[in-house]
Amino acid sequence: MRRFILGISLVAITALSACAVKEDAVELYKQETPLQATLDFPEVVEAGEPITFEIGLLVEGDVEPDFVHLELQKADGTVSYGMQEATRIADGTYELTTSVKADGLYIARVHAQANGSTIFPAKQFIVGELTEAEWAALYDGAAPVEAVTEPHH
Amino acid sequence: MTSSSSSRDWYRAVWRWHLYAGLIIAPFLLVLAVTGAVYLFKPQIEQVIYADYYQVEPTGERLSATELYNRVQAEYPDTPITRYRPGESADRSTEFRVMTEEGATTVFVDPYNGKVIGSQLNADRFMSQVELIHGELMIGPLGDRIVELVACWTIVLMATGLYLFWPRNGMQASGTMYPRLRKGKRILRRDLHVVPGFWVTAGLLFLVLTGLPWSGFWGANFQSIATNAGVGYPPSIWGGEAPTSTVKTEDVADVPWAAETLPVPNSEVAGYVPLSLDQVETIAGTVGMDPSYTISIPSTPDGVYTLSAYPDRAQDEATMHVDQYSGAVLADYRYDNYGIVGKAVALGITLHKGTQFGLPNQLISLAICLGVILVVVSGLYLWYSRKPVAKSGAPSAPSRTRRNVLIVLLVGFGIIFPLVGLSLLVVALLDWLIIRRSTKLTRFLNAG
Repeated sequence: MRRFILGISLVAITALSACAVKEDAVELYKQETPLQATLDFPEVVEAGEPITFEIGLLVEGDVEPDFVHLELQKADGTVSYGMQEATRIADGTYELTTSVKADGLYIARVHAQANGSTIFPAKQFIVGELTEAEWAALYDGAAPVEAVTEPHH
Repeated sequence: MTSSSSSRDWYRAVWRWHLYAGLIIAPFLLVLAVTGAVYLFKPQIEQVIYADYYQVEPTGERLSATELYNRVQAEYPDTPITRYRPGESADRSTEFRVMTEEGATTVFVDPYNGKVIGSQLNADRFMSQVELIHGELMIGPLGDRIVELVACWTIVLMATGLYLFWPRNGMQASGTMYPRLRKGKRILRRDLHVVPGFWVTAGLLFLVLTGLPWSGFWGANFQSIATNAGVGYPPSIWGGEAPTSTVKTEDVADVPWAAETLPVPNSEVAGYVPLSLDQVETIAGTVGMDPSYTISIPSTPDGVYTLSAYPDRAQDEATMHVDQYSGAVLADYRYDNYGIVGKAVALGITLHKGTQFGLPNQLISLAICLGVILVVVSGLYLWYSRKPVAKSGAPSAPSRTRRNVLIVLLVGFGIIFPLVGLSLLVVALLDWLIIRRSTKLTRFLNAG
């Protein structure tokens, strides 16, 4: 009886040691090749002054993107500068120089597509001074969830 | 020993295991069968009892997801909103999940006028209670383990039951497929246990095997092993981590929340902003999610939006992780992307829940549940009506050889289902420490 209890204890303890999903298990299943982008612009931006937006694109493989656009508009949606095509200046680097007419809280959104992956990351930035309403919008934390624009395509 | 006495000895040994396992498992099996029978009709029951929460009158344009989100946030300030469910049809309300101090709460909203129809603590929902009983007997992880144990021992019960019932002189329809009503009460009592047992065995085995992968211990490990072998669910659907959003935390816009009162410099404000719910909803529309999908809202800067749909048919399932800043689809898993075991488990779940084939599926599963209830009740009655006074009615303990062979078989079963192994250990300890040392118990259990 003692041997039986000892044996079954060993079996139970071995089997009861739980196993977890391994980190590399994801490689055994369907994988996406998501496009990645970075967006950079000067720290200080003034109305009427040219602003150069630099877009870095990371595409898996040697694939040309279907499009790289930049959409510029006020965060509250009252002013839109539409979608403008960025110029390729080097492999994976695109640029667009433009300007905005008035102070305010802006959203610059990159729209890019390659390898079937579409992305539209956006950065917000301040031009000049903000109105009280714009500060209030920031304080209310509206920016992260406020709809700014529809995705490209 | 002649072959006939050897056969009788085996029969008694199996009967003994069937009896004791049955007596211990019966109450739990009864609870599982009753709650399972109710849970099968969850869609219809909830449609009736929550009609006021579910139904809305489609009047014009729907408000945007962001607008609805903001209205719910206004109703529940400082309460995290964790999920959004747009609703699968024009006349279905939109749901948000908020994490209140009382717990996860579903807020029902009319998507046409933005009014909050009502809210309900998830744990208070009738079907949540039924599910809690069915899945963990309302006592948490311990209950989950007990349910798992019951499921495993049900397999032992079915195997031993089949052995006991198997006709030694050829299969006959009477007493197997239908009860013998005119052969006396003793035969009828036996048939009322055996006949439904014959009919429900295959179905019950299917329910047990399709239910086990959800269990907290065996199921979790089974799923992990399958996922790690590349044949299960892809990571993050059942176990394993979801991918993370790729933007570096320092590049995310430092939004000055309501506690702040002074303007902050551009360097702090400028940065990536998360997608709006509207944009994520648009992505869901473009990738062909089932309309019953839910969006889980990220709660950390590197979290992802997770779009998931678990509709009636396993083939329509989808889980998608979307980078909260770029909208890039980081993972998109459909039924076709599951491994073979994952597909079997997913199909097993929808069949187990009775949703895969709609009403016929529900009715077949209901018949199995009712059959199980009949088998359990008639089994208890059969035992009680036949057992001698002040004795368990168990046949005498088998010879050491028989006992050892049976124990080896059960230990083998215990290796596949470790909780069974653990329960055998408990039984062995009880037998060794208590039963064997008490003449009264030894006599009552016929364990000499």
